[in-house]
Amino acid sequence: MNTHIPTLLHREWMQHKRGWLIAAFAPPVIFMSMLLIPAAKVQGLPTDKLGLAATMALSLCTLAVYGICLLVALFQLPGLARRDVQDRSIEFWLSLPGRPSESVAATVLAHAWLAPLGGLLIGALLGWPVAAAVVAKQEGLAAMGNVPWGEMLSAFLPMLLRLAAGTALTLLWLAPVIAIMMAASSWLKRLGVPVVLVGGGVSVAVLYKAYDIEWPLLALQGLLVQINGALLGSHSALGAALKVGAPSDLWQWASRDLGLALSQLASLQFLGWAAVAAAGFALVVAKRARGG
Amino acid sequence: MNNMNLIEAKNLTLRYGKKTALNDVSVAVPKGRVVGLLGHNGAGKTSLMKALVGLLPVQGSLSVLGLEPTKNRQQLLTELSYIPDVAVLPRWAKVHELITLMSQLQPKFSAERARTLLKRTSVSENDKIKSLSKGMVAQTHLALIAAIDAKLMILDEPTLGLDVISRKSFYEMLIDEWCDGERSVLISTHQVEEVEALLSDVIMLDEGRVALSISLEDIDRRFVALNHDPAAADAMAAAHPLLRYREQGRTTSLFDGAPPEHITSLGQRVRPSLVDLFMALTRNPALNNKQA
Repeated sequence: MNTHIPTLLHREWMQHKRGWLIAAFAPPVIFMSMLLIPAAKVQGLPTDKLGLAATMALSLCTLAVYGICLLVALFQLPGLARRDVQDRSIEFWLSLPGRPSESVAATVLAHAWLAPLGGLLIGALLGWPVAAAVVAKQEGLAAMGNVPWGEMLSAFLPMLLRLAAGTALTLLWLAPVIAIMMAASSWLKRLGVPVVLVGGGVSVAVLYKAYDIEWPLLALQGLLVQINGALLGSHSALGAALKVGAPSDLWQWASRDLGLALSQLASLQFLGWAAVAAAGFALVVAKRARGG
Repeated sequence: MNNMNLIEAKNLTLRYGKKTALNDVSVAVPKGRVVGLLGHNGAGKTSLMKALVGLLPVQGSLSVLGLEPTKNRQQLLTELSYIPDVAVLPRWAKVHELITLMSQLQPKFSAERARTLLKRTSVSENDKIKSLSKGMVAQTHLALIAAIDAKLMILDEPTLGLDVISRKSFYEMLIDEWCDGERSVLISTHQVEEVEALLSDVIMLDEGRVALSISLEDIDRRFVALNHDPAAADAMAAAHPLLRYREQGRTTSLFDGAPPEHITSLGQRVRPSLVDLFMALTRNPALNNKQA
């Protein structure tokens, strides 16, 4: 079967590239610009361990850009279910080959997976000049030569790859939330997201407090745990691996942690939430197929 | 399929709840024709158009380019050119981006041809859709879909709301660049005067029924318009014309078929305009059952 998803991903890039690039490049560029101000000072970083200071700056930059890109995408996604209806171009898209399911899938993939993944890579790349700038600001330009950049890279790479792989898993666990929000937005327009958030929250609270029914609350709590675990399963295991500091330990941690996160997909919990995601996805597709 | 007919619809019926949008509609469009689908607002034009491109399921038998639209919608959309409404191109896009996307989505689309057609307009490839006037957007849309190597073009109210110059430019481009005697166009509109000169055939819809489906040559043969003095008005009225209207100070009576001999001698035969015929056949529900 001929798929139009690559083309529809291209369409997402055409439409949203400016926002994505701003979200990814603006924070490091602004931070580095601030470092250029003579009166600016870097505080809170260990002065005696340049490698640690540089690693912290690199990690913070990577996580900040990644987090911003992920948050921007998640904030935008519900509204994207209606964007083509709002500018009336839905008629144009429906007049071209390409299934409504492909359009919705491409939107979700682009915003919830590729954009954060791109943010992660850009954050990781720009993290190096940021780290160098922080060290230079704190200890002077000459200190940059004393930073163990190679060791940093060896330690950073497994963590980066763990996050990159975790992004796909995060999307899988976030899928029910994303799909329900998008369905609510496409069917109930502006009211959709508030209705789901308030209605869902009140329903769960009433069921728990008034009727002592706790499985909806537990299901939501379980989902949050899994979303967290998809990116980082065990903080203590990471801490232990970092303490040892050997690249082989970090690679072992990354593969174990990813394996643990992958194993969670083989669960009834995941199947249940996948069914919710599929129902939400079907509702969004049905609305799009009707021309909004 | 009948090899001569690009569209073959038999006994189509479509209901929205209690409202009947299409009521036992049977029409055929052979190759090489320019067919006007005329009707007042709510006559069922858009419903028929959407059924033809597989966006609405209908009862009855429907074949477009030999395909059943709802079952073969994806294939059908690769075989025809379709403008669903005026100014529905995505406002965020630049013209060259739409050319790129259509090149990837529509297998029969020629980017080179689209660029050639755009040169006929004042639109440049770097223009953003939102910066164009409604008339320019309509011309851009026509240039894009006329670059599809298809046998059939379906246009649903493509010039609604455009000024007279934009409408004229649109139809000039359509005739010059698309109509070659082999390919067919189905244009729905209620701006009857605008399209009369373009058409080879006309289908008139009234409250979901076909009031008339006929070629323009046959209109001249079948309908008789007699321009007469006021003194002959009573005799004309007694012969039950479809419509009587005033034209250049004299009255014209329009008959379906040849009027009686003694009536014919009372007036001068003139060519009935499409507007008059449209008025005659779509304003009186009692006449709706009169099929061509």
